[in-house]
Amino acid sequence: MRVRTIIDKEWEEIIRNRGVFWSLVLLPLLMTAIFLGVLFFMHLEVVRTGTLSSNGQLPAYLAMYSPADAVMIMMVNQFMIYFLIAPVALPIYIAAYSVIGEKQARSLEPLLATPVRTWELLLGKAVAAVVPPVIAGWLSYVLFVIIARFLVSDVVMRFIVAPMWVLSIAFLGPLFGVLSVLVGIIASSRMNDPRAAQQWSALFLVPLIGAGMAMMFGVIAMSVWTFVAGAVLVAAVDVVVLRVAVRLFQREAILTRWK
Amino acid sequence: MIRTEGLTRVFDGHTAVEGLDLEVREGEVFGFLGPNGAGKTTTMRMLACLIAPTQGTAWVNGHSIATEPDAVRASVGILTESPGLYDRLSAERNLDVFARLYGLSEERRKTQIKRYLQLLDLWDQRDRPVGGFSKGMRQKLALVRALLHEPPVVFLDEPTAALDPQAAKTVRDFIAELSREGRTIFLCTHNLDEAERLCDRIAVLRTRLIALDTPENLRRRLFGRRTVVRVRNLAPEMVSAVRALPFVHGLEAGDGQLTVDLADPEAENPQLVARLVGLGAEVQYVTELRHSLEEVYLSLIEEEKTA
Repeated sequence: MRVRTIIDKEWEEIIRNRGVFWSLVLLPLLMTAIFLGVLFFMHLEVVRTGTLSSNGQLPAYLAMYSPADAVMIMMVNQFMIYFLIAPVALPIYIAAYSVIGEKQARSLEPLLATPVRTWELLLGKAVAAVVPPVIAGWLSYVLFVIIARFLVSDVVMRFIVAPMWVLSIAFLGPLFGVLSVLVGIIASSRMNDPRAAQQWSALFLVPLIGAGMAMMFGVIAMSVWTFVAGAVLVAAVDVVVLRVAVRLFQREAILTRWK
Repeated sequence: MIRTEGLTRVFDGHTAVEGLDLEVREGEVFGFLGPNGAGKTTTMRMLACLIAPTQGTAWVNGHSIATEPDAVRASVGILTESPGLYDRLSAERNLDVFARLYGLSEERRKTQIKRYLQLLDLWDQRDRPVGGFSKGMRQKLALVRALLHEPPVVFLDEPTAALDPQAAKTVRDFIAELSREGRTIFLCTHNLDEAERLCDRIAVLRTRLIALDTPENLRRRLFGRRTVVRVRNLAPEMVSAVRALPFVHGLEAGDGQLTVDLADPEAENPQLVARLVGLGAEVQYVTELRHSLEEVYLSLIEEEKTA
């Protein structure tokens, strides 16, 4: 009940803050439009010339495909990384501001004077920060799939809806999203400057982008089992990081040292 | 209703509150006075379970702050130094968030929000984002927020600070109304006039407790009781006669006026006046000299400094 109250409050604040709200909605749509635009021009080129040329040598794993499909697959894989990291990258700024914002508004003291537990407060803030970008990311991906169907060949389409990517975008991205948000909330509760909290939180993106690249180039072989193992591992890490966040959220220090 | 035993808080080697022992009775308005940095807000935060004491303990509404912090939080309302509202949310939504955190049912939330917003003339503004509210409106809204769950104990930290006289009066009247409802009110304030008007007892804190009593008793303890008699035709023999009275402990005379130190003015004033009239004095008025709470406070702080 109290977690839900925190979530509702956070969402209402996001919706009423037009700058934040539209950045959450428009950024994924804009990125999707750019990806579709790239595919559209590639499609036009294929229609006009029958092929696509690459600037350099294509990776070995694309050798079995036609040049046009190979170039498109390479591009599509990069787009997929975006859909994977969108729920991780977009909520970082919301999370990084979540506790500092309360400190700045001086609303943290009355909030902490209520019976709300620290874990309820942090979980509420984490869920509130991660859900909108996850939904925006999913909707963008669905939109991308629907429109790309008319722009790419069946071979390329199979890469777009490959189980590895679908499962990753559906489950792994959100789980990583929760992780990034919790890291953002830890930074937010330990620091007094929202910019510093955002910068530190953004560092968390680096390993995730690395993981996405490894998946793209086949360094990490994604089977159903490796996916399930990965998802369980990230979920477990989420729980551990939530507990760490609760421990690091020192009510007294926040109340008495914030000026 | 509130009891503290040796309540102490140290921050990084600096003692903010030391060995505080006090008892606040049920239904009283308890004024907590002291200069800046005296430990008033720290004490209030300890009692509201926002921070823990370094030593000592306290009970609020029968619950220990050490072992039952959730029960304490659920049974107190707190108006913090700054209203701390969510500016983008409406007044009603601000209150609804807190009412839900206190576990009120939807029906009770609606009833309580409406009741208190109407009481403080904010009902018509309920849909407006509070970012556009005046300081007085924000303070009233924060006060409502502290009361939604009907706490028997209410902590108020500088409730009228920075308010215009009209808004301050509204808030003061509301506090008086809360007191009449039987709530225990713990009022931290710098406003001595406000403390004088509202408080049944006051405590003066300067890291340690300097004094604790009713304003009247503190006044008497510090300045004794004095009667002022204005006489149209004051003559030296009248002054001598009054000084000779056995119950007169001290006397100042001048400008047609006698200021007499008495132990029991209610019993001794009639004899004093009778003696003067017997000497032909034309008594214009007789009144008790009341020292303001400000004089009491400043005297206590000065005493503490010199001690």
